[in-house]
Amino acid sequence: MKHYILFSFVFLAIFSTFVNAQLGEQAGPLFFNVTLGGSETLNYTILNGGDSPIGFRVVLPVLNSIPHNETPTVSISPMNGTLAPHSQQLIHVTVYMPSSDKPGLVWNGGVTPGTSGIQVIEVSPSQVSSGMGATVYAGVLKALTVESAKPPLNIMLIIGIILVVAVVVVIGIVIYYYKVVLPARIRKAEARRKELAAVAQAAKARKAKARKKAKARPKAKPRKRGARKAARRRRR
Amino acid sequence: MKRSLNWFIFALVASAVFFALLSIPINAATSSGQVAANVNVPGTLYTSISPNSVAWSQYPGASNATNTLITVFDNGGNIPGNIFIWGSTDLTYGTNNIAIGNVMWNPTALTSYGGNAVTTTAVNTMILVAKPTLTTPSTNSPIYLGISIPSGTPAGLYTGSVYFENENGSVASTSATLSVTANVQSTCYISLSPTLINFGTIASGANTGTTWNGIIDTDANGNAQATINVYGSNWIYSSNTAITFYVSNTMWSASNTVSYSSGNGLTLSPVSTGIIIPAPTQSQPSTSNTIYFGVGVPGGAPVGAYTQNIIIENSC
Repeated sequence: MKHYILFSFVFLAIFSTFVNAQLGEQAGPLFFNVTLGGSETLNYTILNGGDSPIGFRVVLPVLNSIPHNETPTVSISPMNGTLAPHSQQLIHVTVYMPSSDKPGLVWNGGVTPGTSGIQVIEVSPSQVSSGMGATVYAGVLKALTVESAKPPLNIMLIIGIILVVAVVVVIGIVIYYYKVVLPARIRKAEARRKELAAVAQAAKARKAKARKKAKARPKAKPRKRGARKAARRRRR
Repeated sequence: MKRSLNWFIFALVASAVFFALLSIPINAATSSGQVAANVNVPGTLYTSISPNSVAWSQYPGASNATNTLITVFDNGGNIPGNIFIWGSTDLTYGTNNIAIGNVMWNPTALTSYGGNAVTTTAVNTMILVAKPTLTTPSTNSPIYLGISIPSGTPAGLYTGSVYFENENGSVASTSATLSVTANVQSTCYISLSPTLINFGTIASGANTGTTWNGIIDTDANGNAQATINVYGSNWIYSSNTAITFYVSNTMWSASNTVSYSSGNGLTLSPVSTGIIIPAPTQSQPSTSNTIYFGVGVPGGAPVGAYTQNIIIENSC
């Protein structure tokens, strides 16, 4: 037996064309280009173009996920409030990029299916329900795109690295000089000194030997004066 | 003796002649130095302003409070004068314009937009700039301006002029020109009607068929095209909140001529419907589109009333 159970959705005969609270937002998506490990804050405006105040709440965006990378964190301020008639409210959106992510990755909210942008939704509709049927809330949705970027070159870090490398090189040179070069020079100088001493000793010995030899040899007769002339004459 | 007397008489006569001659030009100069000098100083007014330019940034359908100070001076005049004000026909940006009447003036600063509209013909503001004097040769008075951007005004930089002039009867100064710029920003609004949907009584296992409930989404102030996004919550049994049926039993559609099953199931997170709210213009400052909803009740659902929240969002 087929049961037809009647559902009594209470009739709320509101078919008026009355224009309700007018919630608005500044047009255009938000684009964040955030360095790894850094953050960026952008602002946009929500508006109340109507004659009655609008209580609002903010729903954080849902970004797509990228395998092997953390999804950036989004924080928004304020998360709720009341827009006075014909007033505006600045919404501050800050995106924090995990430092472990790769550069050049793109996340979005409210652009592709399965994601959601920043939602500002009225807290209560201008027509109050008695609790039956479907209550329809108005909101504005802000799409956002987040791109990871390489952190900029830190000139102080580079200078620091250069200084450290320079110090290491200088210390290495000093150690090499005192451990290798200087001992080698000392050894060389010592060897040279010994060599010179040996040479000097040898020269001294040669000199002494020569002197001894000279003493042992008989002395030659000294030639008389005119002996050469006499010898020449004799040859003739 | 006689000779000495002659010399004395001669010296006396010579002295007398000398002093007589000396006295003649002195008497002549005194008599010819008296000149009657007349100068006629008329009542005069001058006008200068500070600053010479103002720039406002605003959204269509919104306004700036009438509190932008313009100081109107009379530097060097000698009579009091009233400030007269008028403006160019429009503030223009290409072929688009904002009528000068959207610029308001007021003698005092206001915390909201209000006062008197600037017109294209000179208007006496009755704001008095005091008479400059020899000790105070420059006098001034303040006047405050504000602007409202009409709904549907396209985004852009609109420029125009507002003129100021001190006048006193038939005496008027030359006018001073204030350069006015309005930077109109891009925005979209959302307004829903109705904000409640009564689907009526539906049997369990049945649906609304080709009967759709439309929600009119209106942008009555903006200037940018918007796309409708929609999502909702699960249906909750009013007698026992633990009993629910799924959100996707509600269908949305851009058309009300299709069957229930041809609709798109409502989801728990926003989806773009592809339904467009055209950008409003000044000639058509309110644009709208309709999104339709139907519901099907799953078999076995307990008798009673159920509620659901539907969120409709414009994105621009």
